[in-house]
Amino acid sequence: MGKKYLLNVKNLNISWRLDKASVPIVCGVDFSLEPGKVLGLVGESGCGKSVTALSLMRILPKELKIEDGEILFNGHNGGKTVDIAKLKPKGEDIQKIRGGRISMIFQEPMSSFSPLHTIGNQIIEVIEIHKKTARGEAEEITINLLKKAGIADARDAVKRYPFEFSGGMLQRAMIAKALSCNPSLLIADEPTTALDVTIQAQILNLMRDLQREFGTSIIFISHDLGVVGQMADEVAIMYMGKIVERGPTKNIFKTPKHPYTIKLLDAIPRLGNLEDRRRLEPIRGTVPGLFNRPPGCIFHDRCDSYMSGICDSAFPDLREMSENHFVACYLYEKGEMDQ
Amino acid sequence: MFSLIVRRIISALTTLFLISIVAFILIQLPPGDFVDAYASKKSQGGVIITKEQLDAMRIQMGLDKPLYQQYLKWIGGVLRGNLGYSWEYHRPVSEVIGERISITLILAFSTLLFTYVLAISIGIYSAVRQYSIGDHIATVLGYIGLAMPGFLFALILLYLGQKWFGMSVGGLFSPEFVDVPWSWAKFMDMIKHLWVPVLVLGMAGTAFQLRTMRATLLDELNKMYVTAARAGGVPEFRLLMKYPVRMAINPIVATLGWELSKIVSGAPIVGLVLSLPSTGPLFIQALLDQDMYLAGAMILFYCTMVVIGTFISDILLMIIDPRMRFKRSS
Ligand SMILES: Nc1ncnc2c1ncn2[C@@H]1O[C@H](COP(=O)(O)OP(=O)(O)OP(=O)(O)O)[C@@H](O)[C@H]1O
Ligand SMILES: [Mg+2]
Repeated sequence: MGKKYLLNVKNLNISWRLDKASVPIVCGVDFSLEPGKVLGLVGESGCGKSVTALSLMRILPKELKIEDGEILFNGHNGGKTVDIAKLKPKGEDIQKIRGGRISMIFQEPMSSFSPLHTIGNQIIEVIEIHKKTARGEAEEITINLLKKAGIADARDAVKRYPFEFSGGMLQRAMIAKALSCNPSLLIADEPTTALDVTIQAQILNLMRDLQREFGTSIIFISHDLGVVGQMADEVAIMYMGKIVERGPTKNIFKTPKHPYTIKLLDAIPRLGNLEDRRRLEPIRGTVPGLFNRPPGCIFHDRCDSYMSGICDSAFPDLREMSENHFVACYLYEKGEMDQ
Repeated sequence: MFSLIVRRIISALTTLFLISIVAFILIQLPPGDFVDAYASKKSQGGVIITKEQLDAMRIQMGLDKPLYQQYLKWIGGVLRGNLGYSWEYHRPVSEVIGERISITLILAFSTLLFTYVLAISIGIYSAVRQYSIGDHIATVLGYIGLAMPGFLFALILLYLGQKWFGMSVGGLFSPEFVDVPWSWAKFMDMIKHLWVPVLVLGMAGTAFQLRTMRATLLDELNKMYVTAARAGGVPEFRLLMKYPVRMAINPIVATLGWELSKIVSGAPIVGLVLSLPSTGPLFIQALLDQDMYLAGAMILFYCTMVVIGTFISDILLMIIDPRMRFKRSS
């Protein structure tokens, strides 16, 4: 492990604490991210992408707890490693990281701004907190950022309220807010899901341009492998709180290993599919509820390659198939079926 | 914004005008008039008044005229600052109610202040520390406050005050201050007595607004914009006050006029039980005596307070919620 990581998440476990029980939601997630790279985090709705993202900034809702694991972050304190999982969620240390070193773009731009404060107010606030600049200067920075984010009349826009903006414009403003303090990591949680298709493409382009300009690392969350393919250097596939496969984007698309990944790729409409009139195949069955996680490999009851007695015994370890390409599946265990 | 305020003022004045008509009709509704009430009182004292004398009284008071003429005469006077004459007290109405009005105003606004300060601060505490012991205590007290009628609470306080401290918690002044003119010492004496009626009058409202504040704030705390602001690194206390608390205060401010009307309508009964020198007991007596101009002036006064309360709450809402300013101006 000679490489310098910006973020290294090890064995992250998050559960939902109820009165008498606790329900696992994220179960032993590992991934890492190099400076300046984009990691795509993909999975069906409810698999724990947002929960993972929120935990990286320690902004989980009260009832969700990090039970175990490390979130090692190097983009702070001149490169000294901090374990975010160990910080107090209301402490000063994490507050400096939030918005300053790690920031986040949320799925619903409309509900992610306070309706009672102007857009300018909400961006300037972040700059004032982290950069300790005077109000006037912070306002200038904000106007410049909004321009960069593609808001034409930025000088007026700072004085406007969220309900005076369209969803796309608000998402641009949120990107400006997220980048306002030059964070080393940007988490984008389905930044385009709530927007219509043309706006979606604009926002993705904007993010890519700004990523190049600022050199920010991005964790790009989506349930859409197609979108992730355009953005990410590496992809991690998540299913029911576990990462079942991760690797360089090219490998994932060209030589997907995990049956779940293969199914997800089949579900993307592609020109080829349309020509031979093959129907898009939905994945058999539905995601089991939080309260009945299948034993063994969590995907086994929906898997076409299910091997009785093996797949339902224990969850398989992630194994490295080729450089940096990991998969957790018994199909690739030594001594099992060749593939 | 300015034109909005002007529009508000016009609608408030229209409301007051309509209320004055309704009030005047309501006062006339019970059978008989002041002269009848006067006659029956006198006859209880053994004095017989002839029908001719009564008719002469009516003509002198203008009671023989049709209702609309009586109204026009009255409202014309009111507009010129003349509230009419109290037949029962043989003095102008403004003199009769003068001092009592200021006491009612002090009482109403202290109660309002008490209600809002307590409801908002306990509401914030209860929501932020949901299910803590303090929250449970506030909840139980809140239910009691909502369920118990004010006059009953007043009676209990009177009883306990008598039993434990051997003093009357009724009234608003110590005996030595009752009939002396206003002074600093008298004012301080009133403040000392004020907490009992304020507590009684404010209890239900505080309990209700506290529940509203707690519930709305709990809702707001889970909203996306709070998480988003937290993700920007805003420190917790500032975050709480700037975003969710400000949102949660909206419905509370919106009901300010309504809250004031509850206080105003609860005040007469509580005033009677606690024998306060406020307008309450006077109002009830004026209605019994059919002392028409006195009763009319008081109804107008109460309604004006409510209309002003609603007006203030509208203006406050426009100040704190930009969406209000825009919605109504476009
Ligand atoms: N506050 C919460 N309390 C209890 N359970 C929660 C809470 N938030 C999320 N969960 C559960 O955690 C699981 C993962 O949720 P999460 O929001 O991370 O999914 P996701 O992968 O982001 O899905 P989506 O694509 O719909 O955004 C879900 O089953 C959800 O029901
Ligand atoms: Mg999500």
